[in-house]
Amino acid sequence: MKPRDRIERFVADTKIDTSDKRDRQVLGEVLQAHKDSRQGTSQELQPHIWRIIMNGNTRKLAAAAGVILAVALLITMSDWMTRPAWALAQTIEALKEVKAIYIAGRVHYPDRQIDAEIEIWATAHTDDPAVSGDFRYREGDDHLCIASERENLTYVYDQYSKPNVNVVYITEGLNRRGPIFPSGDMLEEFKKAAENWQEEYRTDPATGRPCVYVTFAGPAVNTARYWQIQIDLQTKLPVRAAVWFDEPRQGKPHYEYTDVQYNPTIPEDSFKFSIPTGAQIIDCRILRKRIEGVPGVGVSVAGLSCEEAGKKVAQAYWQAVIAQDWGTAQNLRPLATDPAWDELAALYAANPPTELVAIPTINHLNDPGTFVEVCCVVRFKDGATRRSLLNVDLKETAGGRIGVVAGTIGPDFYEAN
Amino acid sequence: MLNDVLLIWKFRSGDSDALAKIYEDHRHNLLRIATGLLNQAGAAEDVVHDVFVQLAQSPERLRLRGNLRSFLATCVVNRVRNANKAAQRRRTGGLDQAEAVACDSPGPERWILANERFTMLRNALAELPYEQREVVILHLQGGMKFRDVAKSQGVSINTVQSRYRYGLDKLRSLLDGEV
Repeated sequence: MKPRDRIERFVADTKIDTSDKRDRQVLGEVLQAHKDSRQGTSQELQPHIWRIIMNGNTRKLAAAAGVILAVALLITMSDWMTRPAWALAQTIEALKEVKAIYIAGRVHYPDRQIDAEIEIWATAHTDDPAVSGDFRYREGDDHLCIASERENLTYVYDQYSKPNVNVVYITEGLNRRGPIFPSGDMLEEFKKAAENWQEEYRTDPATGRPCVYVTFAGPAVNTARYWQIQIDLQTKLPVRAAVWFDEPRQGKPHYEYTDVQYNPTIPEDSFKFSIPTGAQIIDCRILRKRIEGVPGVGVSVAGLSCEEAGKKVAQAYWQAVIAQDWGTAQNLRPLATDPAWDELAALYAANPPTELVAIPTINHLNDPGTFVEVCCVVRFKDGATRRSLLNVDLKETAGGRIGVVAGTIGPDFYEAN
Repeated sequence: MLNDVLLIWKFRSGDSDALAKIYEDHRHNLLRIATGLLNQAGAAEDVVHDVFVQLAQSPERLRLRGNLRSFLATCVVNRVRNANKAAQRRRTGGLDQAEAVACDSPGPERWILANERFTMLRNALAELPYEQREVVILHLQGGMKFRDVAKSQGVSINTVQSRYRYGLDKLRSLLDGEV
Protein backbone atom coordinates (compact mmCIF):
# COMPACT_ATOMS: atom_id res chain seq x y z
CA MET A 1 0.00 0.00 0.00
CA LYS A 2 1.30 3.48 -0.90
CA PRO A 3 2.16 5.85 2.01
CA ARG A 4 -0.59 8.24 0.89
CA ASP A 5 -3.19 5.43 0.95
CA ARG A 6 -2.01 4.42 4.41
CA ILE A 7 -2.53 7.97 5.70
CA GLU A 8 -5.95 8.20 4.07
CA ARG A 9 -6.98 4.92 5.65
CA PHE A 10 -5.58 5.97 9.03
CA VAL A 11 -7.60 9.21 9.01
CA ALA A 12 -10.75 7.53 7.76
CA ASP A 13 -10.61 4.51 10.07
CA THR A 14 -9.49 6.02 13.38
CA LYS A 15 -12.43 5.72 15.74
CA ILE A 16 -13.41 7.67 18.78
CA ASP A 17 -14.61 6.28 22.11
CA THR A 18 -17.39 7.86 24.12
CA SER A 19 -18.80 7.56 27.59
CA ASP A 20 -21.93 5.38 27.65
CA LYS A 21 -23.38 7.49 30.43
CA ARG A 22 -22.97 10.74 28.48
CA ASP A 23 -24.25 9.00 25.33
CA ARG A 24 -27.49 8.19 27.14
CA GLN A 25 -27.71 11.64 28.72
CA VAL A 26 -27.32 13.46 25.41
CA LEU A 27 -29.75 11.12 23.69
CA GLY A 28 -32.25 11.85 26.48
CA GLU A 29 -31.81 15.60 25.93
CA VAL A 30 -32.17 15.23 22.17
CA LEU A 31 -35.36 13.15 22.49
CA GLN A 32 -36.76 15.59 25.03
CA ALA A 33 -36.08 18.48 22.62
CA HIS A 34 -37.90 16.53 19.92
CA LYS A 35 -40.85 15.84 22.21
CA ASP A 36 -41.05 19.47 23.37
CA SER A 37 -40.96 20.81 19.84
CA ARG A 38 -43.74 18.43 18.73
CA GLN A 39 -45.90 19.30 21.73
CA GLY A 40 -45.23 22.99 21.12
CA THR A 41 -46.45 22.66 17.55
CA SER A 42 -49.63 20.83 18.40
CA GLN A 43 -50.39 22.99 21.45
CA GLU A 44 -50.28 26.09 19.30
CA LEU A 45 -53.24 24.80 17.28
CA GLN A 46 -55.32 22.48 19.40
CA PRO A 47 -56.63 24.74 22.24
CA HIS A 48 -57.94 27.28 19.76
CA ILE A 49 -59.90 24.71 17.78
CA TRP A 50 -61.17 23.10 20.97
CA ARG A 51 -62.35 26.43 22.40
CA ILE A 52 -64.11 27.44 19.19
CA ILE A 53 -66.05 24.20 19.02
CA MET A 54 -66.96 23.96 22.69
CA ASN A 55 -67.80 27.55 23.78
CA GLY A 56 -71.58 27.57 23.49
CA ASN A 57 -74.14 27.24 20.72
CA THR A 58 -73.37 30.54 18.98
CA ARG A 59 -69.77 29.56 18.53
CA LYS A 60 -70.76 26.06 17.43
CA LEU A 61 -72.92 27.64 14.73
CA ALA A 62 -70.12 30.02 13.77
CA ALA A 63 -67.71 27.10 13.47
CA ALA A 64 -70.19 25.18 11.30
CA ALA A 65 -70.66 28.25 9.11
CA GLY A 66 -66.90 28.49 8.82
CA VAL A 67 -66.69 24.91 7.61
CA ILE A 68 -69.47 25.50 5.04
CA LEU A 69 -67.74 28.65 3.85
CA ALA A 70 -64.45 26.81 3.47
CA VAL A 71 -66.11 24.06 1.38
CA ALA A 72 -67.81 26.68 -0.81
CA LEU A 73 -64.51 28.48 -1.27
CA LEU A 74 -62.82 25.24 -2.24
CA ILE A 75 -65.45 24.60 -4.91
CA THR A 76 -65.13 28.15 -6.25
CA MET A 77 -61.37 27.90 -6.29
CA SER A 78 -61.25 24.52 -8.02
CA ASP A 79 -61.03 26.28 -11.38
CA TRP A 80 -58.09 28.34 -10.19
CA MET A 81 -56.45 25.24 -8.76
CA THR A 82 -56.53 23.40 -12.08
CA ARG A 83 -54.57 26.15 -13.84
CA PRO A 84 -51.17 24.96 -15.07
CA ALA A 85 -49.07 25.07 -11.92
CA TRP A 86 -45.33 24.94 -11.88
CA ALA A 87 -42.88 23.50 -9.41
CA LEU A 88 -39.13 23.83 -9.43
CA ALA A 89 -38.83 20.04 -9.41
CA GLN A 90 -40.42 19.92 -12.90
CA THR A 91 -37.77 22.23 -14.32
CA ILE A 92 -35.02 20.28 -12.60
CA GLU A 93 -36.41 17.11 -14.19
CA ALA A 94 -36.67 18.72 -17.63
CA LEU A 95 -33.09 19.97 -17.43
CA LYS A 96 -31.87 16.39 -16.98
CA GLU A 97 -32.49 15.85 -20.68
CA VAL A 98 -30.32 18.82 -21.68
CA LYS A 99 -26.89 17.84 -22.92
CA ALA A 100 -25.94 21.02 -24.75
CA ILE A 101 -27.03 24.63 -24.69
CA TYR A 102 -26.73 27.88 -26.60
CA ILE A 103 -27.44 31.20 -24.90
CA ALA A 104 -27.31 34.69 -26.38
CA GLY A 105 -27.88 37.98 -24.65
CA ARG A 106 -26.20 41.13 -23.46
CA VAL A 107 -24.03 42.30 -20.60
CA HIS A 108 -24.04 45.81 -19.25
CA TYR A 109 -21.39 47.31 -16.97
CA PRO A 110 -22.79 50.72 -15.94
CA ASP A 111 -19.58 51.85 -14.21
CA ARG A 112 -17.46 51.24 -17.32
CA GLN A 113 -20.21 52.16 -19.77
CA ILE A 114 -19.86 48.83 -21.51
CA ASP A 115 -22.80 47.25 -23.23
CA ALA A 116 -21.86 44.13 -25.17
CA GLU A 117 -23.34 41.05 -26.78
CA ILE A 118 -22.70 37.75 -25.09
CA GLU A 119 -22.85 34.26 -26.50
CA ILE A 120 -22.42 30.96 -24.71
CA TRP A 121 -22.06 27.45 -26.09
CA ALA A 122 -21.72 24.62 -23.62
CA THR A 123 -22.01 20.87 -23.35
CA ALA A 124 -22.60 18.91 -20.17
CA HIS A 125 -19.48 17.38 -18.67
CA THR A 126 -19.07 13.69 -19.47
CA ASP A 127 -18.66 12.68 -15.83
CA ASP A 128 -20.72 15.33 -14.09
CA PRO A 129 -23.68 16.79 -16.00
CA ALA A 130 -24.17 19.49 -13.36
CA VAL A 131 -21.19 21.39 -14.77
CA SER A 132 -20.07 22.13 -18.30
CA GLY A 133 -17.43 20.15 -20.13
CA ASP A 134 -16.73 22.11 -23.30
CA PHE A 135 -17.58 25.77 -22.82
CA ARG A 136 -17.31 28.88 -24.95
CA TYR A 137 -18.14 32.35 -23.68
CA ARG A 138 -17.79 35.42 -25.87
CA GLU A 139 -18.35 38.95 -24.58
CA GLY A 140 -18.28 41.54 -27.37
CA ASP A 141 -15.15 41.27 -29.48
CA ASP A 142 -12.71 41.67 -26.66
CA HIS A 143 -13.25 38.74 -24.35
CA LEU A 144 -13.35 35.05 -25.20
CA CYS A 145 -13.11 32.09 -22.87
CA ILE A 146 -12.91 28.53 -24.13
CA ALA A 147 -12.68 25.48 -21.89
CA SER A 148 -11.91 22.24 -23.65
CA GLU A 149 -12.82 19.01 -21.90
CA ARG A 150 -10.60 16.96 -24.23
CA GLU A 151 -7.51 19.12 -23.60
CA ASN A 152 -8.44 19.78 -19.96
CA LEU A 153 -7.36 23.38 -20.58
CA THR A 154 -9.02 26.77 -20.37
CA TYR A 155 -8.06 29.70 -22.57
CA VAL A 156 -9.03 33.23 -21.58
CA TYR A 157 -8.48 35.99 -24.12
CA ASP A 158 -8.74 39.70 -23.24
CA GLN A 159 -8.20 42.53 -25.67
CA TYR A 160 -8.80 46.14 -24.80
CA SER A 161 -7.26 49.58 -25.03
CA LYS A 162 -6.40 52.08 -22.26
CA PRO A 163 -4.15 50.39 -21.39
CA ASN A 164 -3.46 48.46 -24.52
CA VAL A 165 -3.89 44.84 -23.51
CA ASN A 166 -3.92 41.82 -25.79
CA VAL A 167 -3.41 38.74 -23.68
CA VAL A 168 -4.21 35.02 -23.59
CA TYR A 169 -4.16 33.09 -20.35
CA ILE A 170 -3.73 29.33 -20.57
CA THR A 171 -4.72 27.46 -17.45
CA GLU A 172 -4.96 23.83 -16.52
CA GLY A 173 -8.41 22.34 -15.91
CA LEU A 174 -11.88 23.50 -16.85
CA ASN A 175 -11.94 26.92 -15.27
CA ARG A 176 -15.10 28.36 -16.69
CA ARG A 177 -16.06 31.99 -16.65
CA GLY A 178 -19.72 32.87 -16.59
CA PRO A 179 -22.52 30.60 -15.53
CA ILE A 180 -22.09 26.92 -14.86
CA PHE A 181 -24.06 24.50 -16.99
CA PRO A 182 -27.77 25.15 -16.31
CA SER A 183 -28.81 22.20 -14.26
CA GLY A 184 -31.02 21.16 -11.38
CA ASP A 185 -28.06 21.68 -9.07
CA MET A 186 -27.76 25.30 -10.16
CA LEU A 187 -31.47 25.98 -9.66
CA GLU A 188 -31.45 24.28 -6.26
CA GLU A 189 -28.52 26.49 -5.25
CA PHE A 190 -30.48 29.51 -6.43
CA LYS A 191 -33.57 28.46 -4.47
CA LYS A 192 -31.52 27.76 -1.36
CA ALA A 193 -29.86 31.16 -1.44
CA ALA A 194 -32.95 33.06 -2.60
CA GLU A 195 -34.75 35.76 -0.66
CA ASN A 196 -38.23 36.96 -1.54
CA TRP A 197 -38.87 34.17 -4.09
CA GLN A 198 -42.01 35.04 -6.06
CA GLU A 199 -43.78 33.32 -8.93
CA GLU A 200 -46.09 35.12 -11.33
CA TYR A 201 -48.04 33.41 -14.12
CA ARG A 202 -48.19 35.45 -17.33
CA THR A 203 -48.25 35.06 -21.07
CA ASP A 204 -45.02 35.85 -22.85
CA PRO A 205 -45.89 38.92 -24.98
CA ALA A 206 -43.36 37.88 -27.64
CA THR A 207 -44.43 34.26 -28.14
CA GLY A 208 -47.91 34.13 -26.60
CA ARG A 209 -46.91 31.08 -24.57
CA PRO A 210 -47.88 30.70 -20.90
CA CYS A 211 -44.92 31.23 -18.62
CA VAL A 212 -44.04 31.59 -14.98
CA TYR A 213 -41.83 34.55 -14.08
CA VAL A 214 -39.75 33.78 -11.00
CA THR A 215 -38.15 36.73 -9.24
CA PHE A 216 -35.85 36.58 -6.25
CA ALA A 217 -32.75 38.09 -4.72
CA GLY A 218 -30.11 35.42 -4.99
CA PRO A 219 -26.48 34.63 -5.76
CA ALA A 220 -24.62 37.71 -6.96
CA VAL A 221 -23.01 38.06 -10.36
CA ASN A 222 -20.46 40.74 -9.57
CA THR A 223 -22.80 42.65 -7.26
CA ALA A 224 -25.99 42.11 -9.28
CA ARG A 225 -28.37 39.81 -7.40
CA TYR A 226 -31.95 40.65 -8.37
CA TRP A 227 -32.95 37.84 -10.70
CA GLN A 228 -35.84 37.17 -12.98
CA ILE A 229 -36.09 33.79 -14.68
CA GLN A 230 -38.86 33.11 -17.18
CA ILE A 231 -39.91 29.48 -17.48
CA ASP A 232 -42.08 28.07 -20.24
CA LEU A 233 -45.00 26.23 -18.66
CA GLN A 234 -45.21 23.62 -21.41
CA THR A 235 -41.57 22.62 -21.69
CA LYS A 236 -40.81 23.62 -18.05
CA LEU A 237 -37.46 24.98 -19.28
CA PRO A 238 -36.04 28.46 -18.64
CA VAL A 239 -36.38 30.59 -21.77
CA ARG A 240 -35.07 33.94 -20.53
CA ALA A 241 -33.19 35.22 -17.52
CA ALA A 242 -31.78 38.50 -16.30
CA VAL A 243 -30.05 39.85 -13.23
CA TRP A 244 -30.11 43.48 -12.08
CA PHE A 245 -27.96 45.41 -9.63
CA ASP A 246 -31.00 47.01 -7.98
CA GLU A 247 -34.63 46.54 -7.32
CA PRO A 248 -37.20 47.06 -8.80
CA ARG A 249 -35.45 45.50 -11.83
CA GLN A 250 -35.80 48.48 -14.15
CA GLY A 251 -33.42 49.67 -16.83
CA LYS A 252 -30.70 47.55 -18.34
CA PRO A 253 -29.90 44.37 -16.45
CA HIS A 254 -26.27 43.48 -15.73
CA TYR A 255 -26.71 40.17 -17.59
CA GLU A 256 -29.62 39.36 -19.82
CA TYR A 257 -30.12 36.01 -21.57
CA THR A 258 -32.74 36.45 -24.27
CA ASP A 259 -32.24 33.50 -26.60
CA VAL A 260 -31.87 30.07 -25.02
CA GLN A 261 -31.71 26.94 -27.16
CA TYR A 262 -31.56 23.46 -25.71
CA ASN A 263 -29.62 20.61 -27.34
CA PRO A 264 -28.72 22.71 -30.41
CA THR A 265 -26.37 21.60 -33.18
CA ILE A 266 -23.01 22.94 -32.16
CA PRO A 267 -20.89 24.50 -34.90
CA GLU A 268 -17.64 22.69 -35.58
CA ASP A 269 -14.53 24.10 -33.88
CA SER A 270 -16.63 26.01 -31.34
CA PHE A 271 -14.39 24.77 -28.57
CA LYS A 272 -11.07 25.10 -30.41
CA PHE A 273 -8.94 28.06 -29.47
CA SER A 274 -6.54 29.78 -31.88
CA ILE A 275 -4.09 32.24 -30.38
CA PRO A 276 -4.74 35.69 -31.90
CA THR A 277 -1.84 37.41 -33.64
CA GLY A 278 0.28 39.57 -31.37
CA ALA A 279 -1.27 38.37 -28.15
CA GLN A 280 0.88 38.05 -25.02
CA ILE A 281 0.65 34.45 -23.84
CA ILE A 282 0.54 33.96 -20.10
CA ASP A 283 0.78 30.25 -19.56
CA CYS A 284 -0.29 29.89 -15.95
CA ARG A 285 0.81 26.24 -15.90
CA ILE A 286 4.44 27.14 -16.58
CA LEU A 287 4.51 30.18 -14.29
CA ARG A 288 2.94 28.26 -11.42
CA LYS A 289 5.46 25.46 -11.80
CA ARG A 290 8.30 27.96 -11.68
CA ILE A 291 6.86 29.66 -8.61
CA GLU A 292 6.58 26.26 -6.93
CA GLY A 293 10.30 25.81 -7.50
CA VAL A 294 11.08 28.87 -5.35
CA PRO A 295 10.23 27.97 -1.75
CA GLY A 296 9.32 30.37 1.03
CA VAL A 297 8.04 33.20 -1.14
CA GLY A 298 4.96 35.42 -0.95
CA VAL A 299 2.74 36.74 1.76
CA SER A 300 0.06 34.86 3.70
CA VAL A 301 -3.49 35.46 2.46
CA ALA A 302 -5.22 32.80 4.56
CA GLY A 303 -8.90 33.47 5.09
CA LEU A 304 -9.03 36.42 2.65
CA SER A 305 -11.32 36.69 -0.37
CA CYS A 306 -9.64 36.83 -3.81
CA GLU A 307 -10.22 40.57 -3.92
CA GLU A 308 -8.76 41.19 -0.46
CA ALA A 309 -5.86 38.86 -1.17
CA GLY A 310 -5.04 40.51 -4.52
CA LYS A 311 -5.09 43.91 -2.86
CA LYS A 312 -2.92 42.78 0.05
CA VAL A 313 -0.24 41.31 -2.24
CA ALA A 314 -0.17 44.40 -4.49
CA GLN A 315 0.04 46.76 -1.51
CA ALA A 316 2.85 44.73 0.08
CA TYR A 317 4.74 44.68 -3.21
CA TRP A 318 4.53 48.42 -3.82
CA GLN A 319 5.34 49.17 -0.20
CA ALA A 320 8.57 47.17 -0.60
CA VAL A 321 9.41 48.79 -3.94
CA ILE A 322 8.77 52.31 -2.62
CA ALA A 323 10.94 51.57 0.43
CA GLN A 324 13.53 50.08 -1.94
CA ASP A 325 13.44 46.93 0.16
CA TRP A 326 14.53 44.74 -2.75
CA GLY A 327 14.73 41.55 -0.68
CA THR A 328 11.03 41.74 0.21
CA ALA A 329 10.05 42.90 -3.27
CA GLN A 330 11.86 39.97 -4.87
CA ASN A 331 10.33 37.60 -2.37
CA LEU A 332 6.90 38.86 -3.41
CA ARG A 333 7.74 38.71 -7.11
CA PRO A 334 9.94 35.63 -7.35
CA LEU A 335 9.94 35.27 -11.13
CA ALA A 336 10.48 38.90 -12.17
CA THR A 337 11.67 37.78 -15.54
CA ASP A 338 9.91 40.29 -17.70
CA PRO A 339 12.31 42.04 -17.55
CA ALA A 340 14.80 40.23 -15.30
CA TRP A 341 15.10 41.55 -11.78
CA ASP A 342 18.25 43.62 -12.44
CA GLU A 343 16.53 45.36 -15.34
CA LEU A 344 13.45 45.89 -13.23
CA ALA A 345 15.51 47.34 -10.38
CA ALA A 346 17.21 49.65 -12.89
CA LEU A 347 13.80 50.74 -14.17
CA TYR A 348 12.69 51.53 -10.62
CA ALA A 349 15.99 53.29 -9.85
CA ALA A 350 15.74 55.57 -12.90
CA ASN A 351 12.44 57.02 -11.76
CA PRO A 352 11.51 55.57 -8.37
CA PRO A 353 7.87 54.92 -7.48
CA THR A 354 6.91 57.08 -4.51
CA GLU A 355 3.29 56.24 -3.78
CA LEU A 356 0.63 53.64 -4.53
CA VAL A 357 -2.19 56.05 -5.32
CA ALA A 358 -5.07 53.64 -5.90
CA ILE A 359 -6.17 50.17 -6.89
CA PRO A 360 -9.14 51.06 -9.11
CA THR A 361 -9.98 47.60 -10.43
CA ILE A 362 -9.32 43.97 -9.61
CA ASN A 363 -10.33 41.52 -12.33
CA HIS A 364 -10.55 37.77 -12.85
CA LEU A 365 -11.93 37.26 -9.35
CA ASN A 366 -14.19 34.45 -10.46
CA ASP A 367 -11.74 32.71 -12.77
CA PRO A 368 -10.21 30.03 -10.64
CA GLY A 369 -7.53 29.22 -13.22
CA THR A 370 -6.15 32.61 -14.15
CA PHE A 371 -4.27 35.04 -11.97
CA VAL A 372 -6.02 37.85 -10.14
CA GLU A 373 -5.41 40.97 -12.22
CA VAL A 374 -4.76 43.97 -9.97
CA CYS A 375 -4.65 47.37 -11.63
CA CYS A 376 -2.40 49.70 -9.60
CA VAL A 377 -2.03 53.44 -10.09
CA VAL A 378 1.45 54.44 -8.94
CA ARG A 379 3.02 57.88 -8.59
CA PHE A 380 6.68 58.33 -9.56
CA LYS A 381 9.41 60.69 -8.50
CA ASP A 382 8.89 62.75 -11.66
CA GLY A 383 5.34 63.47 -10.41
CA ALA A 384 3.59 61.45 -13.10
CA THR A 385 1.17 58.61 -12.30
CA ARG A 386 1.25 55.40 -14.32
CA ARG A 387 -0.65 52.14 -14.28
CA SER A 388 0.74 48.71 -13.64
CA LEU A 389 -1.34 45.57 -14.18
CA LEU A 390 -0.05 43.00 -11.73
CA ASN A 391 -0.90 39.34 -12.08
CA VAL A 392 -1.28 37.93 -8.58
CA ASP A 393 -1.17 34.19 -8.02
CA LEU A 394 -3.00 32.83 -4.98
CA LYS A 395 -1.86 29.35 -4.14
CA GLU A 396 -2.10 26.71 -1.52
CA THR A 397 1.13 25.70 0.17
CA ALA A 398 1.96 23.42 3.05
CA GLY A 399 1.91 26.49 5.29
CA GLY A 400 -1.49 27.70 4.07
CA ARG A 401 -2.65 30.04 1.31
CA ILE A 402 -0.15 32.58 0.01
CA GLY A 403 -0.09 35.26 -2.69
CA VAL A 404 2.76 36.29 -5.00
CA VAL A 405 3.12 38.62 -7.96
CA ALA A 406 3.41 36.32 -10.96
CA GLY A 407 4.29 39.12 -13.38
CA THR A 408 2.57 41.92 -15.24
CA ILE A 409 0.22 42.13 -18.16
CA GLY A 410 2.14 43.86 -20.88
CA PRO A 411 4.96 46.20 -19.82
CA ASP A 412 5.55 47.09 -16.20
CA PHE A 413 4.00 50.55 -16.61
CA TYR A 414 1.40 52.17 -18.79
CA GLU A 415 0.74 55.88 -18.93
CA ALA A 416 -2.18 56.49 -16.53
CA ASN A 417 -4.58 57.99 -19.05
CA MET B 1 -29.04 6.01 0.68
CA LEU B 2 -32.47 4.33 0.66
CA ASN B 3 -32.07 3.57 4.36
CA ASP B 4 -31.30 7.25 4.93
CA VAL B 5 -34.39 8.32 3.03
CA LEU B 6 -36.62 5.93 4.98
CA LEU B 7 -35.10 6.97 8.29
CA ILE B 8 -35.56 10.65 7.53
CA TRP B 9 -39.12 10.11 6.37
CA LYS B 10 -39.91 8.35 9.68
CA PHE B 11 -38.16 11.06 11.68
CA ARG B 12 -39.99 13.85 9.88
CA SER B 13 -43.24 11.99 10.55
CA GLY B 14 -42.50 12.31 14.26
CA ASP B 15 -40.93 8.92 15.00
CA SER B 16 -38.52 9.42 17.91
CA ASP B 17 -37.03 5.94 17.36
CA ALA B 18 -35.82 7.15 13.98
CA LEU B 19 -34.15 10.12 15.67
CA ALA B 20 -32.52 7.78 18.21
CA LYS B 21 -31.24 5.63 15.34
CA ILE B 22 -29.74 8.69 13.57
CA TYR B 23 -28.06 9.62 16.84
CA GLU B 24 -26.72 6.09 17.40
CA ASP B 25 -25.39 5.81 13.87
CA HIS B 26 -23.71 9.20 13.58
CA ARG B 27 -22.69 10.55 16.98
CA HIS B 28 -19.21 8.98 16.98
CA ASN B 29 -18.36 10.24 13.53
CA LEU B 30 -19.62 13.74 14.26
CA LEU B 31 -17.66 13.91 17.51
CA ARG B 32 -14.57 12.76 15.64
CA ILE B 33 -15.08 15.44 12.95
CA ALA B 34 -15.77 18.24 15.42
CA THR B 35 -12.78 17.32 17.58
CA GLY B 36 -10.50 17.15 14.55
CA LEU B 37 -11.65 20.56 13.36
CA LEU B 38 -11.66 22.35 16.70
CA ASN B 39 -8.95 20.42 18.53
CA GLN B 40 -10.87 21.08 21.71
CA ALA B 41 -12.87 18.23 23.14
CA GLY B 42 -15.27 20.34 25.20
CA ALA B 43 -16.12 22.69 22.33
CA ALA B 44 -16.51 19.72 19.96
CA GLU B 45 -18.95 18.05 22.35
CA ASP B 46 -21.00 21.26 22.52
CA VAL B 47 -21.11 21.52 18.74
CA VAL B 48 -22.33 17.95 18.25
CA HIS B 49 -24.83 18.26 21.09
CA ASP B 50 -26.25 21.42 19.50
CA VAL B 51 -26.41 19.85 16.04
CA PHE B 52 -28.54 16.97 17.36
CA VAL B 53 -30.75 19.21 19.49
CA GLN B 54 -31.41 21.54 16.58
CA LEU B 55 -32.15 18.58 14.33
CA ALA B 56 -34.63 17.29 16.93
CA GLN B 57 -36.32 20.67 17.19
CA SER B 58 -36.73 21.29 13.49
CA PRO B 59 -37.05 18.05 11.50
CA GLU B 60 -38.53 20.00 8.58
CA ARG B 61 -35.08 21.51 7.95
CA LEU B 62 -33.63 18.09 7.20
CA ARG B 63 -33.72 18.07 3.39
CA LEU B 64 -31.35 15.51 2.05
CA ARG B 65 -29.51 16.13 -1.22
CA GLY B 66 -26.61 13.72 -0.73
CA ASN B 67 -26.30 11.24 2.09
CA LEU B 68 -27.14 11.76 5.74
CA ARG B 69 -23.51 11.41 6.83
CA SER B 70 -22.43 14.31 4.61
CA PHE B 71 -25.44 16.40 5.61
CA LEU B 72 -24.63 16.05 9.31
CA ALA B 73 -20.93 16.66 8.66
CA THR B 74 -21.91 19.92 6.93
CA CYS B 75 -24.03 20.92 9.95
CA VAL B 76 -21.02 20.32 12.20
CA VAL B 77 -18.60 22.23 9.99
CA ASN B 78 -20.96 25.21 9.77
CA ARG B 79 -21.17 25.38 13.54
CA VAL B 80 -17.40 25.00 13.83
CA ARG B 81 -16.92 27.90 11.42
CA ASN B 82 -19.26 30.01 13.54
CA ALA B 83 -17.28 29.00 16.61
CA ASN B 84 -14.09 29.96 14.75
CA LYS B 85 -15.46 33.39 13.94
CA ALA B 86 -16.56 33.92 17.53
CA ALA B 87 -13.16 32.76 18.78
CA GLN B 88 -11.36 35.10 16.38
CA ARG B 89 -13.43 37.98 17.66
CA ARG B 90 -12.40 37.11 21.21
CA ARG B 91 -8.66 36.70 20.64
CA THR B 92 -6.01 37.73 18.20
CA GLY B 93 -4.67 34.25 17.46
CA GLY B 94 -6.58 31.94 15.08
CA LEU B 95 -7.65 28.41 15.71
CA ASP B 96 -4.55 27.18 13.94
CA GLN B 97 -2.68 28.31 17.02
CA ALA B 98 -5.23 26.89 19.47
CA GLU B 99 -3.69 24.69 22.07
CA ALA B 100 -4.96 21.18 22.41
CA VAL B 101 -7.07 20.51 25.44
CA ALA B 102 -6.71 16.99 26.74
CA CYS B 103 -9.93 15.12 26.10
CA ASP B 104 -9.35 12.80 29.02
CA SER B 105 -9.22 15.56 31.58
CA PRO B 106 -10.99 14.53 34.79
CA GLY B 107 -14.65 15.33 35.38
CA PRO B 108 -17.92 13.47 35.17
CA GLU B 109 -19.18 15.52 32.25
CA ARG B 110 -16.67 14.38 29.57
CA TRP B 111 -18.33 12.71 26.59
CA ILE B 112 -15.25 11.89 24.46
CA LEU B 113 -12.84 9.33 25.90
CA ALA B 114 -9.24 9.41 24.77
CA ASN B 115 -7.62 6.56 22.92
CA GLU B 116 -4.01 6.61 21.82
CA ARG B 117 -4.60 6.37 18.09
CA PHE B 118 -7.23 9.09 18.04
CA THR B 119 -5.08 11.40 20.16
CA MET B 120 -2.17 10.89 17.77
CA LEU B 121 -4.34 11.73 14.77
CA ARG B 122 -5.92 14.74 16.48
CA ASN B 123 -2.51 16.17 17.37
CA ALA B 124 -1.29 15.71 13.81
CA LEU B 125 -4.41 17.32 12.36
CA ALA B 126 -3.91 20.29 14.69
CA GLU B 127 -0.64 21.05 12.89
CA LEU B 128 -2.41 21.62 9.57
CA PRO B 129 -3.65 25.07 8.48
CA TYR B 130 -7.39 25.18 9.16
CA GLU B 131 -8.53 25.10 5.51
CA GLN B 132 -6.43 22.00 4.79
CA ARG B 133 -7.62 20.31 7.97
CA GLU B 134 -11.23 20.94 7.00
CA VAL B 135 -10.79 19.45 3.52
CA VAL B 136 -9.04 16.31 4.82
CA ILE B 137 -11.65 15.74 7.51
CA LEU B 138 -14.71 16.45 5.36
CA HIS B 139 -13.47 14.20 2.58
CA LEU B 140 -12.18 11.27 4.62
CA GLN B 141 -14.41 11.36 7.67
CA GLY B 142 -17.44 13.25 6.38
CA GLY B 143 -17.56 11.22 3.16
CA MET B 144 -17.94 14.40 1.08
CA LYS B 145 -16.85 14.66 -2.53
CA PHE B 146 -14.29 17.33 -3.43
CA ARG B 147 -16.96 19.07 -5.46
CA ASP B 148 -19.21 19.38 -2.41
CA VAL B 149 -16.33 20.51 -0.20
CA ALA B 150 -15.50 23.16 -2.82
CA LYS B 151 -19.09 24.40 -2.73
CA SER B 152 -19.04 24.44 1.05
CA GLN B 153 -15.74 26.38 1.21
CA GLY B 154 -16.68 28.66 -1.68
CA VAL B 155 -13.49 27.90 -3.62
CA SER B 156 -12.66 26.02 -6.80
CA ILE B 157 -12.29 22.26 -6.89
CA ASN B 158 -8.61 22.72 -7.84
CA THR B 159 -8.03 24.67 -4.64
CA VAL B 160 -9.72 21.97 -2.60
CA GLN B 161 -7.61 19.28 -4.22
CA SER B 162 -4.44 21.29 -3.54
CA ARG B 163 -5.46 21.75 0.07
CA TYR B 164 -6.09 18.02 0.34
CA ARG B 165 -2.75 17.13 -1.21
CA TYR B 166 -0.80 19.49 1.03
CA GLY B 167 -2.74 18.34 4.06
CA LEU B 168 -2.02 14.67 3.39
CA ASP B 169 1.66 15.38 2.68
CA LYS B 170 1.99 17.16 6.00
CA LEU B 171 0.15 14.39 7.85
CA ARG B 172 2.45 11.88 6.23
CA SER B 173 5.52 13.74 7.44
CA LEU B 174 4.04 14.14 10.92
CA LEU B 175 2.90 10.57 11.26
CA ASP B 176 5.85 9.02 9.46
CA GLY B 177 6.80 5.82 11.22
CA GLU B 178 3.67 5.84 13.39
CA VAL B 179 1.25 4.65 10.72
